[in-house]
Amino acid sequence: MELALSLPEIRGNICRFLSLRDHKTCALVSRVWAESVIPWIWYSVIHHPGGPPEKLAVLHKHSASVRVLKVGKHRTLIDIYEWFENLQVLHFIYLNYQTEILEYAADLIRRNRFSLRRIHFHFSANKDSAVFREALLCPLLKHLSFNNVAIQEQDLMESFIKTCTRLTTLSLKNVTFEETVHLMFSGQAFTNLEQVKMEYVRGPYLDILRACQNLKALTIIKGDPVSASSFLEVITVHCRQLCVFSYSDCGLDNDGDFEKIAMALPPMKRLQGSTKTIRDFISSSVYSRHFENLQAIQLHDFLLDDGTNSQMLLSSCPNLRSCVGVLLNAEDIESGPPWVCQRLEHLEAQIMVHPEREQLHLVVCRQLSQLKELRILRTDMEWWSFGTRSHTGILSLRLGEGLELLASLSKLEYFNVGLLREEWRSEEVEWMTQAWPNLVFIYYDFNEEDGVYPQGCKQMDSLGFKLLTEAYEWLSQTALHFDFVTNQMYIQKYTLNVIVETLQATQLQNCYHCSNKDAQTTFSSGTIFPSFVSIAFNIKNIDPGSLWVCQWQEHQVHNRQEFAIRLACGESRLDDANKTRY
Amino acid sequence: MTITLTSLDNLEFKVDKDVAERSVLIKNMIEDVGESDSPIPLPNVTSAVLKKVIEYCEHHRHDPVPVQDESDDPRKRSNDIEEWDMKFMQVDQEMLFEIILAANYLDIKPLLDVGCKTVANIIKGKTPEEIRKVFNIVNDFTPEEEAQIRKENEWAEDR
Repeated sequence: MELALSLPEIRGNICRFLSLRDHKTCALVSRVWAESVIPWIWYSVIHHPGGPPEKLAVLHKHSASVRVLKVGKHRTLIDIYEWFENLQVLHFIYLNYQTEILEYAADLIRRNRFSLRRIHFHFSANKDSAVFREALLCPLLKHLSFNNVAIQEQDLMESFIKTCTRLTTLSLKNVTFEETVHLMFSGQAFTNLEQVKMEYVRGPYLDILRACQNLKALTIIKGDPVSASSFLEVITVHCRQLCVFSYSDCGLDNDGDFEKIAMALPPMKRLQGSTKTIRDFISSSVYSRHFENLQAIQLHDFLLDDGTNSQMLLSSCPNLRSCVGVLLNAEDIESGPPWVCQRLEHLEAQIMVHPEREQLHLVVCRQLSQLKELRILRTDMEWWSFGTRSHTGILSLRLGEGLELLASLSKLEYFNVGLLREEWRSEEVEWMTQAWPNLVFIYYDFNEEDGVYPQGCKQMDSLGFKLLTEAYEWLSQTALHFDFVTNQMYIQKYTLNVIVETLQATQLQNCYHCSNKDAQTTFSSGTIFPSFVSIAFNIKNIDPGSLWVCQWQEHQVHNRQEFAIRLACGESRLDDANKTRY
Repeated sequence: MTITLTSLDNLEFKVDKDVAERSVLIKNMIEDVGESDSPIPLPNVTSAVLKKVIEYCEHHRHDPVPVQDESDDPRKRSNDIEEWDMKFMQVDQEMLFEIILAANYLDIKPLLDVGCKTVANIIKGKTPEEIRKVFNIVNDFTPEEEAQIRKENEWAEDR
């Protein structure tokens, strides 16, 4: 063995960059490799109930290596809560912890009080605060995410502030601050708190923000309505570093209020909220001071938009990296100033082209082709075309009609074209493979008319499968989170085997839960149904016989079937990139 | 200001101070010894390897110094090696490991990480036997040991 590889610190450093699958392989290479890599295999564990006693014994054996623990169903807590003493991350992921189990949860936190850095507690039982209390006693805590608790004790909040000085992110959902608690803290308290998310929070929660001088990101979703004047006070006096703001249904949308708020907000980097208020925000020149800094904008219910403001946004914000939920009209693109957002990486827009002005497809594509950093492109939002099911009036994206201009988007990874107008030709798929070497996901959907599956989609299928394999490689290595949907309406027997081979080769480990039990029984017989797609994941192995669970949604209006393969492994790449961009 | 570094085979390399200080070992030596013209001997590094290391440090001389954040997850991706570094690492396996050893000795963390990521990319997706072959590793497991590890690994899931 090479000298370098005989050094344990070098082996350990190499292991840092490997995925679980490769760790398991390395453990079988030789004894010293096993020694180096086995702690990594047990670094992050998700514990579900079930399995033979051997499974628990093995976990116990390696419990000293575990740093990240995700606990599933409640019974498992009783088995394992005493085993871990160096946990850094603790996720309680099951939704229905019974009261008597909570004391074990609290105990587990207590035993790891001095090492825990991140706690996620999502459960929907009673609003007991014993576990919450333990979490607030962890001095190294950087990230706290807590659901369903009612806070009644003043001393709890006071010890929270004194102890959790390193807290960087706080996320509370369905939390009530009772009247017995007041949240006015004197002086600087949470000096490291940069991100706060309040979802369905009741009580004077804004008061907490007065203690967060370094707050950079704030999300408010529902909960007790926020008065514009107290919000104004918080951001103008206390949270002057704020640069990311996301809100929904929290009382700030009232006419006139948001205008004052937008004028008072420090220059925003990311903004997410209702279209109505943000549309007004964009259109007034008063808010143009935000344009320089704006990096991400996301609108909800964009159907209220008329497009003119989105065009202005793209031609005014030079640092924009992500623009989601806008409506764009080809005529506005044609007649308006060119887009300045050269750094745009993520665009999800409904792009409309009047059916009688075919040449506008080229105009739009020419403009899109300028976005050389684009990684995610979606030009047809589901819910728009879902209502009309119309293939006309939408951006074409076919070779000869503008697609070829998008060859400049060499970094493209995700391409979502919504509805297809016609069949895809094999040369188009060929073209995409050549032009976009980084393409990992492709999404397309079509309306099944007369039960006939367009021939051309076979080409998309094979591209989709190729990408599926690559996607898994990419995902498993990078441990990223990405939902993607591939839509294959028609699989012949040979292609089904291709999927099986592909997935077996990649040793896909995730299980996708079937939401339709009938489908499961239907497809487990092994018969191939040409008009359905079904893919199933057994957790360990994929066996063509024990087949394919699919999730399929039947929309009432139109017979639309799609299946989804969801690979969830961690944090979204875009979030990751944005995290460091404050 | 230039620093002189002497390799194992007694070749001298003159580098700017800021380039040399990408190596924490050298930086500390300079701080201890003070400003001096005498060359710094690096008896663990041959000239061929030192040349490569210096090339790396010169290219990355303006990079911000990496900050160690111990509370973050140490597990990282290996597919984000930048283009220049990738070309730089296109060397034979022997040189690759020499660079890793040198970066380890000289305490140049970014170079060590790039080297280890490159090795990780070689390992990725291979079977144990393929890995042994590539790196000339002897299988010293008994069949029972191997079976035991395989069985235990089956229970390890992280999501």
